[in-house]
Amino acid sequence: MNRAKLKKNFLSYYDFNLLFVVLFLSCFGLVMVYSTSYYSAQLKLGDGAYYMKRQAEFMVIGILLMLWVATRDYHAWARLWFLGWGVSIILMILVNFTSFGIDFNGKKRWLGFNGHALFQPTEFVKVAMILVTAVLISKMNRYLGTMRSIRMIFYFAILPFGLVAMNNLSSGIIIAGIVVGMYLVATREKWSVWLLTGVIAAAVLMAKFGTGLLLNLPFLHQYQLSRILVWNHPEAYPQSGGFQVLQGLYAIGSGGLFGKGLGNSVQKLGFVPEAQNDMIFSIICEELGLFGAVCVILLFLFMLYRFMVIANNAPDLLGSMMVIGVMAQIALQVFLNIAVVTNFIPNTGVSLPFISYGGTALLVLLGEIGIVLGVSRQIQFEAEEEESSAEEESEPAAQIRSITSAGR
Amino acid sequence: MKTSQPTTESPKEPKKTKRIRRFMQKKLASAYLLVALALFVLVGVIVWIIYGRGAAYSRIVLNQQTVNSSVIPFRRGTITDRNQTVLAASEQVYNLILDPSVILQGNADDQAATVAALMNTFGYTQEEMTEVLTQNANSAYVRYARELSEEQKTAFETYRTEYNSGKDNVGKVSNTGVWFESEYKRVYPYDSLACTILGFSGTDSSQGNWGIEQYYNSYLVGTNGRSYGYLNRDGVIERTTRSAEDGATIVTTIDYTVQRIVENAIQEFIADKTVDNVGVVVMDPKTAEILAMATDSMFDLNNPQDLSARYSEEEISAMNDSEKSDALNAMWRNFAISDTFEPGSTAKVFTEAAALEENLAEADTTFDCDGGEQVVDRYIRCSHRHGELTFEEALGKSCNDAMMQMAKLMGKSVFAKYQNLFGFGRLTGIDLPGEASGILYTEDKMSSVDLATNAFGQNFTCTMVQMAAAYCSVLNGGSYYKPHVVKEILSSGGDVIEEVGSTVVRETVSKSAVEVLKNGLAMVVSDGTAKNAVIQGYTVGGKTGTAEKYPRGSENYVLSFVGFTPVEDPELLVYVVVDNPHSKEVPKYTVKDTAVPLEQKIMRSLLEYLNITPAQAFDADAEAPREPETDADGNIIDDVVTPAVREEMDEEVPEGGFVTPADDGPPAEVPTDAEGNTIPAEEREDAAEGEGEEGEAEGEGEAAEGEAAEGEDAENGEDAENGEAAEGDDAENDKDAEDDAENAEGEDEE
Repeated sequence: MNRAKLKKNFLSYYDFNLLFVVLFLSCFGLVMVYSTSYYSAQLKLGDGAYYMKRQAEFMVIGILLMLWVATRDYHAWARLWFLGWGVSIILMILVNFTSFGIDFNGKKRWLGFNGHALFQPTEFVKVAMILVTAVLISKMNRYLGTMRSIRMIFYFAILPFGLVAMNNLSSGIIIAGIVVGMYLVATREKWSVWLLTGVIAAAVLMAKFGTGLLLNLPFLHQYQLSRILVWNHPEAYPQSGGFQVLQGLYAIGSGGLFGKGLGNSVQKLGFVPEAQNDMIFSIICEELGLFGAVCVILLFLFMLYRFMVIANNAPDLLGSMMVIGVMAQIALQVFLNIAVVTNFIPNTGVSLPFISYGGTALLVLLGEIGIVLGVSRQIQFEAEEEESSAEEESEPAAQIRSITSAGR
Repeated sequence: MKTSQPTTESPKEPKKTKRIRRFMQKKLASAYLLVALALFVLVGVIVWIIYGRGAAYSRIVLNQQTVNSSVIPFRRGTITDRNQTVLAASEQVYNLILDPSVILQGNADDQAATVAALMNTFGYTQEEMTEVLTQNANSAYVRYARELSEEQKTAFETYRTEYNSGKDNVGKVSNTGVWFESEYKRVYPYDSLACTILGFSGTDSSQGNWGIEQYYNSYLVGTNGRSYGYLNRDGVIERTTRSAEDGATIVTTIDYTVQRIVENAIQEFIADKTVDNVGVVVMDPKTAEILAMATDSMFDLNNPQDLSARYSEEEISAMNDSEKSDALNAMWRNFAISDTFEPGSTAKVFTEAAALEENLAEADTTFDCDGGEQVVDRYIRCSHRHGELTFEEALGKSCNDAMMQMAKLMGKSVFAKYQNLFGFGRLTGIDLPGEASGILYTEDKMSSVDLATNAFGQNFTCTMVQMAAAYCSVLNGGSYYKPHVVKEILSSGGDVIEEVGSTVVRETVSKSAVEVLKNGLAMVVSDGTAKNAVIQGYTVGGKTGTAEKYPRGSENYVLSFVGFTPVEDPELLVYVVVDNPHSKEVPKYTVKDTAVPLEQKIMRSLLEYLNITPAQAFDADAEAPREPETDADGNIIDDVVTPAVREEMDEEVPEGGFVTPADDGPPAEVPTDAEGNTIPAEEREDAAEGEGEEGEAEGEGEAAEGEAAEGEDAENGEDAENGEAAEGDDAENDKDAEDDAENAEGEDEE
């Protein structure tokens, strides 16, 4: 394969729509992190811009990482699938069972040294599981959809899932969601979709109305149980668990149609704790109103739409599955985050992609977007890759046009 | 979809590559739709929260704010005099806050104990307490009493602690139901001292009104702190406090003692007479620092809304709101910077300065005063027929004729240039609000008559501070400093934030010219119009000024005197303006029995306090003949063109018979400025000519008679012109409406 030719053609297609929406959301996130954290950062750290500056550093590094990842062939990442899987397990074991794990608010979620937190390995596990699942699915041929394929994926997924869910159920749910989502898209059969829907619905109904039953379930932690109780009746626990949820709801409710104006939230003044983290969406609602909230949701929908277009046109199933994995992760996180903030589901710590404060999450997400962009760049080349450079110059260009127009 | 496209191009190869299949695309699309649907459900939830619960939640949000966070007020900055004497400061006081909702939650014993505590320490009655608690039963915040002292607060808190720790006491005094909110109260320890300079600040400590309080408000205010509490995830109240940042301290150039002396002298001065205004400015000519600035209008800064010093109870109650606010503004107004008037002869020094600078005259140049000057169509008189005068004598004797000759020599443009250079017609930039600029003729609007009358300080207006600052520039050797009342600004911790200091705005005259001018000004006191300004042991210079107010002939004068000492190296300048003095005992006040003695008295009191060394040489050689008593001879002459001329020699002027020479009587009223037309009424022209001839032909005494004889005619002429003047003023309104309005006292009556 002549690289020069490839490179030239790579430049000819680039999903600028996706790139733009990612950059826009990251910058918007930076503004919101500044707005939400200024007051508490000024009070506690003496520097109102502290969180904003840290997030900006990660954002710059993340964007460079994204652009670099996008220049590589995505197959190179796929080849690392088993390594990634192994490293994930090692990291999770280190976090859960050794002194390298650092706990915040009673939960061991950070990996670090002597109490200096470095990063959250669960974010890494998410990428690794996307790669693992994509590779497994693309390698299964005929038996995709059979019990054998399910077992295969289950064996690979159960260990990381279990290790993550031990201390961080919400991340566990996301990992499970990614794997199950990717598998469901790839298989022909439909019964599993209905089964899944039924299970989720039953769980929700039980949580909502069968509280007594829940109390006897052995596998739920005390804090998870109390969150369910709070979810049912936040007003009944205004001083304890319901505080954060209630304050978030107050923020949303008091925002109105157009909000109080950027920077004018009062709920961030100590009422919504750590407003720059998981609860940032409630402050977006308070400051920018329903209008701002819908705009943010539409931006995410547009981003997901671009993922779908890229997945549909990827040169091979591996590329498609990788994109679908990223898509599943972002869709799940957006949904879960907003659902928690609006008290649609019980409180669980899921951050809003690209917007919530969090260095590791932002870095990993931008890296994933790099992979997606890398896939998008190869869309039109499957013909040439096989056929070498005998092709007419005008030919790829015409394909690009057809792809882009199809994409819209 | 494009999947089919490559297939057509390379039929065999693509089959190798496993691509996403159509059913997967379909599933992906339905998954996407599912996600979109789910997100729209969430949007629906948000809509429900906003429109279903929004109102209630907004209320809760507001309630939380008031309950959980409180403002820690900043302390407004202190204002001190130049020696750190505090002139204005903020004192901490406390508001008593009751929280009936908390108090009433307690059992009957607790409630009774709390009420008893309030009654015992603050002397409230049982009924009062019951009423406030029952009427505000659901309220969490009732500001029951304001401005309690630290002692009262401590008394209550001690009582509460002791009562609650006593074993035999029934019930507990509520800890959270009664609390104190701190606040600052502005206090002016010397009540009315320097009231017009300081201005005042009320209960809202972020605002200042008038004076330094207003001008330096941005420095005086600090930033409020905040104490807020919230419940953390574990339901524990966390309280965080960010302390307030206090305002800066303003160190003024004012000297408490000097200000006190000046104010007392003014009060003593006005005790036996009525005046429109009295203003005194005391400055250091070397830096244009204002040591004192006072007017006769005094008010209590601790109670600035109180009009009782000026009006009776009935008058105040009869006022409506706008009348009341007018009366208050008139009382708060700083005459020394906000009011303009015709300066009169005090301005002559600037005409001479211009003549020297332009090399049109030297110290030994002589002028011949023949009693007046014919300017275009009118004859403008001098106070006397001075005969031959040296340059210095022209100032010393205050000769109008010499000034007119000089002005004529230099012409309008040069004259206007120097007026501008000395700061007339423009703001001095003094650091106080409400400064006026006065009205001047611009070069193109100035007629020859205007030039002639302006040369001796008539027919244009200025403020006290303009005049004082211009004098400082002459006395210190030619540097025009921006007059100022603030020396430096200190942080609340005492570090210097800003050195306001003295800034040279421009150079006015050369050092050599200054020496000549100072000799002339010294002559005013030693052998001129202000002999009673002499202070034993000191060399004093100065210049008097007398200007008749509008309408001319009404015998209302603005009398002024600028005095300074020592002449050789002036360290102190005292400028006194007495506006329209009258009393039953004295038929007519002149500058020599108003402004000059007031200035002399103030300066004499200040010399020792300010440690200004007496000048021995001057003392020995020239003191005796310059006893202040000489003024009794009636030799003290002032110098005004207007009917004020009569003050020169009272005995020679028949009562009521003195007549303004038609042209100089109402110089400011001449409509020429506005209309560009210098032709006055014909009769006036005749009269002026006739009179001019007589004046020239006859001696001083006879000139007065001549004036007397033609009094009637000339007065008529003046009346006729007053009508025109009104038009002229209207036209001028366009030019400078604001200043004109400020000048209204001079021009309105017409």
